[in-house]
Amino acid sequence: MKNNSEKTTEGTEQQDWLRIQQQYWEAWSSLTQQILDNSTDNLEKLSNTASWSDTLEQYWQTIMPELPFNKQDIFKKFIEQGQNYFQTNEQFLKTLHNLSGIDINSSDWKQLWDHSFEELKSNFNQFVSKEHLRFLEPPINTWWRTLSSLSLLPGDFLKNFKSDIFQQPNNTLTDTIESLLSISHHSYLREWQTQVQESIRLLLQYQQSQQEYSAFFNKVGSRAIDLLRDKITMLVKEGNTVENLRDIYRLWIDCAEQAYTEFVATEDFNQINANQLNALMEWKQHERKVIDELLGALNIPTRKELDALYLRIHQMRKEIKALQMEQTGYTMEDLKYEINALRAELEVLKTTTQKPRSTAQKTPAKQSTAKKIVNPPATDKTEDTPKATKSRKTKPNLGE
Amino acid sequence: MFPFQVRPDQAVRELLEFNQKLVGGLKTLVEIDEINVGTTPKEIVYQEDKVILYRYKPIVDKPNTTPILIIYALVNRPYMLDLEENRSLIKGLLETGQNVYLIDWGYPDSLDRYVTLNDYINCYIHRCVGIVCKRYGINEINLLGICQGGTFSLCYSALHPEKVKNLITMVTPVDFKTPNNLLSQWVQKIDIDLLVDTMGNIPGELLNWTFLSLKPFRLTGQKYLDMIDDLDNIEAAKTFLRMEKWIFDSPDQAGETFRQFMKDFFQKNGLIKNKVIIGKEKVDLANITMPVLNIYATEDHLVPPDSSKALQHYVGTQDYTELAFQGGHIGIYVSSRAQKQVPSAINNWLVTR
Repeated sequence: MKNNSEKTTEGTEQQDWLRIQQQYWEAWSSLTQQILDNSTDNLEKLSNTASWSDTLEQYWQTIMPELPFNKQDIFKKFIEQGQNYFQTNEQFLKTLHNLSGIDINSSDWKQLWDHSFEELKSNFNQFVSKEHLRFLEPPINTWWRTLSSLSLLPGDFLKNFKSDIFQQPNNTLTDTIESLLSISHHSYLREWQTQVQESIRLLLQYQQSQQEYSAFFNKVGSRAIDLLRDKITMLVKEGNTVENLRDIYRLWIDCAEQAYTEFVATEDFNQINANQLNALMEWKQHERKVIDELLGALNIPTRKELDALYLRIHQMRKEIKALQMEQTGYTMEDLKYEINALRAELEVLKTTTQKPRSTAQKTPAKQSTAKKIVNPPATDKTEDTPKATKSRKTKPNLGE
Repeated sequence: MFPFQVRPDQAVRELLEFNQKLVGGLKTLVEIDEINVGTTPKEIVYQEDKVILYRYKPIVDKPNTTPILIIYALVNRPYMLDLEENRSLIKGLLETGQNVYLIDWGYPDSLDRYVTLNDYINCYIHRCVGIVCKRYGINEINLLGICQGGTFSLCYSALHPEKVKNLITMVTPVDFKTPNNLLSQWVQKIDIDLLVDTMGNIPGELLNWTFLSLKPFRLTGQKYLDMIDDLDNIEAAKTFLRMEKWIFDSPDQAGETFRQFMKDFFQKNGLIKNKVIIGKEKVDLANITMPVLNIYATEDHLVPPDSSKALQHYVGTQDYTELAFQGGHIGIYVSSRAQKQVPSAINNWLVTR
């Protein structure tokens, strides 16, 4: 039963929730009314849905502190997809506005049509570089989140590096770093400096692979837009129509998934993907060695030592199990089973001794003992259970 | 004719409606307290290290005298087979009269860093099979291996054929290099030794990322968008949350097991080439002479049907049956169609053997 203070807290939370909902709906209604008042005649004006997405973000920021911690993740996913949906529509509405002005009976309609999609591609790339458009964020986001779990550093710590900074020829930064890496050392800190150099080299290698991976998604985006253009052209030819935004969005997802699948099934992607993970691991392993040296100097157990310990524990665990089996030969369940078997055999012997000698000779005691073999414990392959005799199948059902 | 007939006012209303559903749906999520999974009654029969052997309480008077032991994958939690009352393969099997056992691998931690495939197959599985056999005074039981657990059960059945009366594999990879196996293509150039030496155990998040990356737009985007339409239905929302819980509940993988599985199975495709060695013995699928039922999902994006169907060419049994389920890798456990088809198909196959 809840006490009064719990009830009061719950009531306050409920009020906070309702208050936030109320504020949000007021803001939303006002925004919607504004759009309806001013833009109902024009798709282009409607496309200014960035403010819709912003409103959702504000809602999220307001509501987040009020949410239970275990609900925040799932809420965030829904909010992100809502924002994604609004922003995608923003781009499409702009393009649709351009397309709607084209007379498909005119001679240059194909050229105008292609031009609109090229514009969409250009906007798309521009937005991706500014990270405003969430067209392709899901796969990249997932990678960054995973990276966070694998690294001591935040997953997005390289996110704001300019993608082409290391790819430019005669790049001053790259040249400087390379010069730095090539400096020879003769002091007592030589080894340490070498490690730092190696660390930077591996980090740069990882950075490049990470940028290649991100750049790859721009290609997917362009291809997805090409596919979208083809599908829309097909709709025109077939005289079919799409009558709501959700269907347009679904069309887009189909194209994006198709483009993605085309690219990720290539050898190029296999290499890019593997390079990224391999480079991260190389860097991480080097960092681990450096940290191990520091830990060793401080007399703190190192990762290497812990690994050795884990291996020893594992081996000991196996040794103990093997010894237990060797010494007792039986588990408690085996012993119970054997007692039951012996009891059953005792009953047989009692019966046998009461019968005439000639009959008893037909069932030699030795043979009877052989049948007594009970099921040895199920152990490793090397101590495998032999095939049971028929008599075992008639023994009491111990488990039921 | 211009293909997009979306009027501006209609677009605004659609976005407004979407937003209403989103915000209203979030209210539903707040109202849901804890969600339960794996609620079919069960008891612990045996425990060893992190491994637990469960027995599900029979719901018929005389369950099958030969129990069925379910071996699930290491990469996800087995409660997907008992997600909720009306989406439970396990409950379905119990209803058909099967006597169901399940191995739960638990969550490996640093202490399990050096647990190998030999430990999983020749020790844990073998001991669990032994325990079940002893409970009934029998020599052999039925095995149901699912996904990676199906591959394990193939290895086990090949190494210990005398312990397996009937073998059922579900969405099980056998040929790891079929042309449409995206997952396999991705791992071919990954330095597995470097990965395991660096990470020790392999984080579940990494595997999760890999699985989601197979269909990122649908699995990390559209899925949530489509769910917004149903978020006002509290039962649908609960099912969705259970699925979400399962998807992101990925145990870390014991490093040495991961190393061997990725290198020998994925990179070398050793299972069909007789090049997998577990412990000291070679796994030869031709040793699988017991009846085999191989169930695959026609729309499986994780284990392509061809990868599963390859089994027919390598097993030694004369009694091989294949069953195609119209659905995907997850749908085969939780879809309404699966509840109707899969348990009864397994039971019908078993009762005739």
